[in-house]
Amino acid sequence: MIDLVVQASEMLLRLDVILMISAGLVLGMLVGALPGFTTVMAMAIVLPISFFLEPILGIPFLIGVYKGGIFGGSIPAILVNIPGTGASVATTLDGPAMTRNGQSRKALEIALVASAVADFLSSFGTILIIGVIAAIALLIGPPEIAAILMLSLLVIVVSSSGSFLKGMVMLLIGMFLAMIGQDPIGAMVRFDFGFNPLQAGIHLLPLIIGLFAIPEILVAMEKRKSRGLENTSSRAVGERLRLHELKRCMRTILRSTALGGMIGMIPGVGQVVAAFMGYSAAKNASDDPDKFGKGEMEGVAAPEAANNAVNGPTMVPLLTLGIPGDNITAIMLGAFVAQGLRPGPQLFQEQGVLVYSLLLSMLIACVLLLVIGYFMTPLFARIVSINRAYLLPLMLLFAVAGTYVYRSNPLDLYFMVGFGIFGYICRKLALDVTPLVMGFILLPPLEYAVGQSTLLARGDLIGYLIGSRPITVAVLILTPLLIFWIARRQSSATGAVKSEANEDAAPR
Amino acid sequence: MRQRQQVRRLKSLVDVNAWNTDTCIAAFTILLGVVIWLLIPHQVDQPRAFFGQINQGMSPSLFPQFAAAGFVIIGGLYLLFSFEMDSHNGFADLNMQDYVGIATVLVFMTAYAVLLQPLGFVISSGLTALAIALFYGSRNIIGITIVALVAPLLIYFMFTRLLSVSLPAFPWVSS
Repeated sequence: MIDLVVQASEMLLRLDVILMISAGLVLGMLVGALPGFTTVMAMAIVLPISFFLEPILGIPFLIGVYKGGIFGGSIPAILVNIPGTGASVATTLDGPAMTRNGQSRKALEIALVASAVADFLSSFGTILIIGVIAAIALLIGPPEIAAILMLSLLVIVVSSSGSFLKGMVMLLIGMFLAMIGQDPIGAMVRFDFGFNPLQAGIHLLPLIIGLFAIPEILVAMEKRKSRGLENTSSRAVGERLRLHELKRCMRTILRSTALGGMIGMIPGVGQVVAAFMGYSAAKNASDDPDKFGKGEMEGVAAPEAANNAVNGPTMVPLLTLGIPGDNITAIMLGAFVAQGLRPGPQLFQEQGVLVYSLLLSMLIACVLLLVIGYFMTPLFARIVSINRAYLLPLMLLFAVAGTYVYRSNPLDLYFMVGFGIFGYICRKLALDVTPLVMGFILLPPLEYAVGQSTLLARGDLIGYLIGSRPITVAVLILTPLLIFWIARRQSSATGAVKSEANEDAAPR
Repeated sequence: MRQRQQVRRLKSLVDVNAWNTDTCIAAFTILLGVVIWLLIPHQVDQPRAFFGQINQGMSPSLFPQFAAAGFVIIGGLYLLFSFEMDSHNGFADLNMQDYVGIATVLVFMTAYAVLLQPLGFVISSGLTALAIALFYGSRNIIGITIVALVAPLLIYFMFTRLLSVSLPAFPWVSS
């Protein structure tokens, strides 16, 4: 492994790599700082740019957007009490109170340091363990992969917002959309409705850009009469963060890092839950919990550290098993596949140096986040109030250009608009599109793994599994139990998060 | 108690007034499952059999059948539980002006997709950006110039020169 890391470092230490990560961070922070625009949307729009760069430039660029976006969301959360992204909702519990106390600069700086430190530590931990997990993953075959994929899909459904049944409906829609085109085993044409271009299937890019970027534009349009943030004064003011204050927060940051790191490895749970859990843990561990909700610095450090600590470990299921845990890693998977890299244990054997260089780029991104964030946060603070009349057309221009360039097929644009309308309807009806995207991405490998298992079984699948595949049987038996356990944990965590939010919002 | 709940759910099924958004989505889900099931024999090609045997272990119809059955089963359960769900319909909060805004932007987007090839990226993007910025209420000439002229040109050159991929050029340039 040490050899791989050394070679990966040599591959990574290039000026253009550093510049692309920096560009990604700036872009991510910019979008994260704009209330209502999400990191997922930013990544969806810039995804096609990464397709046309070499992997060592394109994927670190997306990593930069990801990390910058998660931190950027804290800027409006602290300054104007509107979370820039979902991940920074918990930051609104103490961030705006610090701003009201004239400590907005301090709040932004502790958010930045907590984000960068937690992200660095969790990414470092990821690099240490991911090789071992990939080695274990190499021992498994098609039946085990099929069982793990089914388990992952169900975990994603049960972790999605809304009810299990709604999640299942969305998952099935995603799976059905993936069936359009050709089956992954014999390339038999399915559901082309006599329309030849459909035989190539629906591409991931119009689906992702349509579902994540277009609804943002439509939602912004419906609210165009109530765009209250324009002309709002949003500046970082007050004293800077002192070293003794940072030392006081370090225990909280480390605790949140551990929590966020563990949550990141579980597909589907994500930054929002991590941030609230980090906040609750900090409050419970505090000698003076009454200060929380009234402008306590640890109340900003805890959720910011926890939500950024999720970033690195989400790469574990993605790179070792090819299973994206959330929308952002689903987009990353799209970037890997477009570069001709199929995430999974084989990738570590075939492209070990490249994989480790991409993992190491996460550490560089964390250091650059600290540097760029330190100098540019005051600028991003002003961007919070930028006029959307200019941002919305820019988003659409990038969305259209990005969707078109991949195949130069105008049909993709119609798909993008169609998925955009569908995504908007889903948002209005509180239907989470995450299971749809996951179903779309994971159906082909699932179908392929089941097909291979059927061939291996030679007609007696159940006998083959029981006789020769004990791990598959164990995973299949454990799946309903695990789903039930996660659902229970999820409902109790949601209850705790709601009561936490209500409790802390009440005195203000 | 459970029996009484089931009777209440079944009664709600026939009472159209008791239907909410979730009930409609559930009914649509069942319908989708039935339609997919009926389409499978016509829309899924079957592999050729050699000497009476299919050379791939699994039929290409298997997963579509699973999906269709899944739609019907999950839709049925969803339908039963939908009457007790805290149904959410975000469209109820919208007024006519909101709908007009959304419809207008959708028209802009569709026109953009249609005009991209005949007019080229820069001109179609400029027109779309201009229309959206004006519709959103901007009257700032500098801002409009940036999004309707400078941005399309920059994006065009970024993709075609820096990333070396093709976007439809200007209408007077043959591709």
